[in-house]
Amino acid sequence: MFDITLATWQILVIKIIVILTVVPVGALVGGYAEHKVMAHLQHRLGPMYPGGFHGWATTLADGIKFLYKEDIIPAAADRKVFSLAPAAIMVPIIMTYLVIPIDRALIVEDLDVGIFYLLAVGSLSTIGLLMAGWSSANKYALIGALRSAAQLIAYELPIVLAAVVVAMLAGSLSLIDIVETQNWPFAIWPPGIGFIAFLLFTVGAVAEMTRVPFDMPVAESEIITGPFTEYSGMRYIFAHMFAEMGHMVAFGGIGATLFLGGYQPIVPIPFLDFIPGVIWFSAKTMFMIFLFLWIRPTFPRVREDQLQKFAWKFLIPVGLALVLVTGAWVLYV
Amino acid sequence: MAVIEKVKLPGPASWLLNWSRKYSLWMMQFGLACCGIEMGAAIASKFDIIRFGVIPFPASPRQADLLVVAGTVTDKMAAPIKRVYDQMPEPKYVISMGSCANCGGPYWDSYAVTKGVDQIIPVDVYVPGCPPRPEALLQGVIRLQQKISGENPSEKWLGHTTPIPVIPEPGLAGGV
Amino acid sequence: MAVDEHRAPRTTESDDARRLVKARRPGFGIGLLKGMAVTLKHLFKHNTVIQYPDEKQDLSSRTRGVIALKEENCTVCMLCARECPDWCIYIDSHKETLAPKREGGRPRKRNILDRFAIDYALCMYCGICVEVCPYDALFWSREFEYAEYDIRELTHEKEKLSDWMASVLPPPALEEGAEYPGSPTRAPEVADGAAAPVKPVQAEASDAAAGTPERRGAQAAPLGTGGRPADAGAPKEAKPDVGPVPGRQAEAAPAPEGAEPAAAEAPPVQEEEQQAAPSQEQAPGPEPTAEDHAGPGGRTETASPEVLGIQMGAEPASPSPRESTETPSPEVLGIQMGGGPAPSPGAGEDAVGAPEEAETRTPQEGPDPEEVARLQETPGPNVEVPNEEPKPTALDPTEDPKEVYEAVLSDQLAKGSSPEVAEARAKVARVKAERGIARNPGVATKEDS
Repeated sequence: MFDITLATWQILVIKIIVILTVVPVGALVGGYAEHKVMAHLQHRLGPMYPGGFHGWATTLADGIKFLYKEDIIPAAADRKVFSLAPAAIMVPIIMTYLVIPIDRALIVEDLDVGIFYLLAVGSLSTIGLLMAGWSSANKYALIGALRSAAQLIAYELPIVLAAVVVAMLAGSLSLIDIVETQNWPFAIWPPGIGFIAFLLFTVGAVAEMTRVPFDMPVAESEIITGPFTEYSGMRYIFAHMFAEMGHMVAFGGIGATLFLGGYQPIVPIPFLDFIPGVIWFSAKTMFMIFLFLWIRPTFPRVREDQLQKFAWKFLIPVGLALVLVTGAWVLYV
Repeated sequence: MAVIEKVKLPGPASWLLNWSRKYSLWMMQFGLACCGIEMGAAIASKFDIIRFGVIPFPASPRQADLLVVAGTVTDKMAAPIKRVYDQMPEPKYVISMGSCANCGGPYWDSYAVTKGVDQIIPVDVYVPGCPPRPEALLQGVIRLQQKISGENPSEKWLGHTTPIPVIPEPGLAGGV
Repeated sequence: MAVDEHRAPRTTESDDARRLVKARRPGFGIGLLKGMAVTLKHLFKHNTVIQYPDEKQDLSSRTRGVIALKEENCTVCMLCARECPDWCIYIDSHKETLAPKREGGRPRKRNILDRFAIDYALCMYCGICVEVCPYDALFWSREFEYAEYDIRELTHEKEKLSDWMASVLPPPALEEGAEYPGSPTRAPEVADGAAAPVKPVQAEASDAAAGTPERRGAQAAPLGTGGRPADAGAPKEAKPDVGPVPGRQAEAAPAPEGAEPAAAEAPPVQEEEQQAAPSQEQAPGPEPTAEDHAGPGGRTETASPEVLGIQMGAEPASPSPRESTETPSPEVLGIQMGGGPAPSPGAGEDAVGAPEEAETRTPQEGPDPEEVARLQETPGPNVEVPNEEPKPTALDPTEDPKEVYEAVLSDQLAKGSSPEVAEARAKVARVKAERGIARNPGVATKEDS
């Protein structure tokens, strides 16, 4: 298409710029979508005046304002760790964007172990949360950090098992391969298996993002804002807002890739091929994000023990059984 | 902050900063009495304070820009209010909602009530009422936004006390 | 059998219990889906937001938004300031001495309002000041948008308070079947709430009245034996020819909310009197009645003397005060003193149109009876002498109190009053008859003297 040859470092720079642009923009758009969708689900309107047209600039205003808000570091805090924690939370989330295929040719890095990389990187932000909670010198922050660590570990497993199911069906760990091998009734094929894996993934993703109903780590009625209690200004927006929204968009993309056929048309009709894969991918990602946003105003927060029981006693056994069934399916069908 | 304090901001930058503060007022709710109910009504579906960019989510004062003191400030509660205010990062704003928070109101001769929250923290907008209607709080927010859009950021953070000109806006909060 | 008995109640378990049992059954996540369906449904419903600055709610007419001041009505009586639980009303005034109305009269003094401020930062919006105001100077407005940057700016002076009058709603419509204020059985003036302050004065005055029979003669109003002249002036209040109804009266009708509470308080007495009155009089004069109906502003002449006295006190601006002022008997004057005197609206500049309400509110020192008498006989140049004959207002002196008692009692009972009420009214009538007080000044005309 373009007859341009670029040096490796040039390509790298471009990729970095793209990723560093996509993530905050995705986070801002995701934040705006969250405001609006949640508001309309609650008979409200959400932001209307910021920016003029339906409050489109509300998260932009948030971003600018938080950038220059006073940056408070508590006197008793461990300054270095406290300062580093937002980066430790944010970087793994940015890294997940690397391997999500937006189109056949639009992928930052097509790793052969894409799904493995995704899962490995995804659990790294737990460390950042622990750092934030521990260094804040605040008991609520510490409780929140421990809760989030326990929760992320517990809900990482259903996601892993769901992803394993997908990888087994595809016979590959590369996300491009996974997308290509998926066929029409994406999420519900093979019968039962795909759909259950999708549910496992969705529940696990909501919990990973510490969103309602699994938002025990940041339960404001119990522990203020959890690990982010002492964060203000720019650090807060990176540690919490951008991280949460970026996480949400990333999980939307992952879900679309693993279960909804990624950039493939939603129904296998040749007529629809003229629509670029980016559109299909975006639509599916938005559907996943809407699902996450839809869940938030619908369900009340669960208790910490219910949260853990649900993961260890229900989701993980179901996931393990699903892996067995999938193995049988792959072998004998 | 340091840069902003030392350098005179050019107009567009100043406008941008004011605009962002104006439409991103994360609101710390300090409901203390019946005014707190009205504040809740202002947040809820019928009035939906989030339309103005006033986001009532933050649970920690570290992330809040706007403190709404709604209700009777008893002497015992004065200390926590002061503390919450001190925990908020600059730039921060305070709305005093209702007669009790304004200057004691019905408890003007009570031994246990602080006669106005402005005795302990600076207040930007006083919303009268007992309790004020939810719309009255919204109007207080609009007045606060008008005030913010007329601020000089460097002056505010240097602690200057020059009176701030208020830029009246047609249509109140409408527009960018 | 024991088992069956034990089970028996379970077959009749309540709906709640059944629902509970159902809820505890494993649902396999169906409940979650139902919940999500609910929120999804709301996504497509129209939202309920009132977008405040752009669209405004139609607030209730009784909304307590802000207290507006009708400055012309304020007499600086300080009742509101004294009744305010928060002491948030600040009133300053000074006294001015005005030239006498006519040659040789006493100089009049009146209070001029200098400052009327309400500290809305302190106000608790209880509305006591609005209710207590005897002159309908304070009203509730639905305005609520007056947040300020400085707490000192929340103390609003009378100019601002007067501006808010523009947003005061007209009074609510009368209920279906309610009598129009102009009907003879109602005395809207009483609604002013001045009844309390006036009454004691009235009582005092009635004693003094006995000594001035010649005044009654001069007035050509038969006052009966010991007559309470309060009624003498009253009938004229309703005369159609008295000219424009001055401000207070004119707005008494529109001025709604302030007047309502007081009115609620007053009517019982008033209505009793009014009901009783017509029945006592064997032959109420048709002419006055007709005039009553035609009376401006719904004045009523059928009210009993007390009511009229109250009216006069509370309603200084009424067009007829001229008559009252000239009424020979000191009682009337005493009443006027108590309730606030009545300058003559028909006189001088008042006649031009816009009545000076401030002046009408001015307390006036009671002139001594002789002076009044002299004035009556030789009215000053600015006095508009009514061209009608004064209405006879007193009872037939020959009326027997016992007969009156019986007549009223039976009449009341026939009207359906309870025995207690009927008896009370009859007693009132009897006492009045004994003392020669007109029970119904408007119609009580047996004979002209």
